[in-house]
Amino acid sequence: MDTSPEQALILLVDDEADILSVYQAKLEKVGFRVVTASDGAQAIQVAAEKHPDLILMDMKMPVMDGITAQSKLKEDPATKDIKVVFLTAFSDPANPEIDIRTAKEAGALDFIKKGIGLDEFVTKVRGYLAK
Amino acid sequence: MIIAIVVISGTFLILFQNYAENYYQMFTANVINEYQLGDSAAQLTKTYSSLLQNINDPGLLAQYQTDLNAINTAASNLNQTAFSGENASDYERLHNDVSLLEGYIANGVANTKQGDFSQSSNILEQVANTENSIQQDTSNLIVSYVSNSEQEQKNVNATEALARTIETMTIIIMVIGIILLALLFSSRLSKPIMRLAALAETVSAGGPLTTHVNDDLMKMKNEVGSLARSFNRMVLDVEKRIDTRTQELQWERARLLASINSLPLGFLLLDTTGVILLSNRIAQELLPREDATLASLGKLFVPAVDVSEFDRLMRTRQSYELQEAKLGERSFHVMAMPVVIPGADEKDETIGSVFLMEDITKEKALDESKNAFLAIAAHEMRTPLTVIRGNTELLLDEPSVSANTGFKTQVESILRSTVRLLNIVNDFLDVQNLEGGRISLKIEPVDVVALLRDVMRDLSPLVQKKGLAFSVDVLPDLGACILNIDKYRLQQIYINLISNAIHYTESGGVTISFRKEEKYMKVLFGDTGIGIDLEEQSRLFKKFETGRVFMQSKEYGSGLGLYISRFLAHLMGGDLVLEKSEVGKGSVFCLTLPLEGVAKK
Repeated sequence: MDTSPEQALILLVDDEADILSVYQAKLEKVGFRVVTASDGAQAIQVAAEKHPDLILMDMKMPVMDGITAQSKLKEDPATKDIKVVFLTAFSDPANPEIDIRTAKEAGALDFIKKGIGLDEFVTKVRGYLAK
Repeated sequence: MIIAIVVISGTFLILFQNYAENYYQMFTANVINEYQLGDSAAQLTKTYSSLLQNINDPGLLAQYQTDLNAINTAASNLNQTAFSGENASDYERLHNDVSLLEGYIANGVANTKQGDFSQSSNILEQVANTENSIQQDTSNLIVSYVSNSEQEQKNVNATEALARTIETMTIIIMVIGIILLALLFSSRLSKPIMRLAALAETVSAGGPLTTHVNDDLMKMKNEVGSLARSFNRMVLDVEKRIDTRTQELQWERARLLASINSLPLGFLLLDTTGVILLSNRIAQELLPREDATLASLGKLFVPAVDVSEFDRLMRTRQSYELQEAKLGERSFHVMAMPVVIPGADEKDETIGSVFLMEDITKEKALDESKNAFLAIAAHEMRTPLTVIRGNTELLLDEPSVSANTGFKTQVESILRSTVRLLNIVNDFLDVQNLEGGRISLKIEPVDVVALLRDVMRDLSPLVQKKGLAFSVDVLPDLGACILNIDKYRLQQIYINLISNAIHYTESGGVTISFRKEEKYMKVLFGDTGIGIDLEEQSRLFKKFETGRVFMQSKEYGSGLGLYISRFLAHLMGGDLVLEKSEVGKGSVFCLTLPLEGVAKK
């Protein structure tokens, strides 16, 4: 299978459909293959089925949040090596960093602040895939 | 006693002198009387002889009578007291002889008048014998007197010598007496004075002002008494004056206390060693009961008031401030400033410090609810803004939009405004979190050069779009660049500074260089941009001035970036300053980071 970045499969997870559509559109435009999920539980299911090269996942989501989903992915030998990067809007204003720290300590590669330019977003994604 | 001695010895001397003089006079008179007695006896004998020749001669008879008188006078003039001792019997014999002589002569004269001369030669012989006896006795007496008087003279001289000795002794005794008297007198004078001195000492040593002189001293009629009375008056006067001053001071103190008690702050006045001199009610309530000192009060605050740091600042006449410190459930704004008084020779003296604690619990709660509201509001804006931005960028990617100049301009405008709004929201949230103390550092070893390269790579699309040069200047001898800091926070600073540099530079480029100094790593961010004028420089890092910056930077950011970056640099034990800037030529910002890293919190 061709694993060149532009051929890579990316799983986008967010409960906001508008966010999903923007990132999906951009990533597909630059040549990535994209699958989506709208919560953590769904994300685990899709990841197990499709084995994406990278998961870009929101943190605060209904049903199952990003942190829990990540830890479950890491528990499963089939999915534990998939790179996870969080998309964050600093969901808890009273404690903006706790999630990021926890995520990183649980094995997330990095996080992307929502709201950055799409070009910068793509640059970062390419960077994660190259690692 | 001494006077008695003097009087007695003086009297004695005078009496003795009188006695000696009288004694002399008496003997001298006796010698003269005896001479006269002798002479009178001789004269009477001679007159009797003549009468034998011429009994009827009236001149001779008168002479006879005169001679009788003369011899009687001489005999009665003899002083019996002069005849003492071996001469005691001579007095009687002389008187007997005179009576015999007078009797013989009277008998002879009577016979002669009757013309009877028969007994004449016999009587004459008897007269001559008697006269001879008288002459003999008187001359013997005179000789005896002379020898006696020489003895007497010796006695007198001896007595006089004794008297003089007594006199000398008396003078010596007098002198000694005077000295003794003086001593006695002086001890009577000096004792009370010593007592007065001791009392004065007691008073001046802070003894009670009821220290009065005892009555016995007061009653003394001499100077000591008057001194004692003056002393008592003085003490009373001083007491009165002190009372007046004390009342004035108490009033001043009451006023001062009332003033500081009416302050809506905890107030402590401390001396230079940190001992509390004065405190108001609010401060008293805050001070721990078991140990009401600044040090133990300081420990109750979170973060604690570091008394050693506080001391150092007071000594160097700087202020101390804790914007917010928790004490139990309450929040305080803690301040301290040195109390400086202008001293002599224009040298100011720090006499202590004032420590203030302002209860900001209410303001804090209000501030926090406001912040929380703003944070939530800002957060809720981020997701929609992200969607707007993303879709706008997607639109610009569409060939149909970018080909249409009108569309393109409008969509670009939407994008710019959206980006600006997003930046504002992001910065705003950052400031809220930083100031709210909700930022915790995660300290780990970070390669600060490698991190910079990552950031540069992320930002390279922006640089390329503007056609700028972008370089990192790392000296070969820089060595290891791994510092113990917060990677994410450093990244934030990097992004902020580099984004600014790119934004304000139209031609030329951005150069980042690293330099190691003794304790710090310096990261210099140079650009060839528009530069910052002096007025703007002074406001650059100030949060409250960002409104102006914000208004001026119409197309970029919130203007809070530098404030946030410096805040973060400080959090990590470093600093961020504008190294230099020249309008039209560019600016250099300098970030310093501690080589030792950040102490874990």
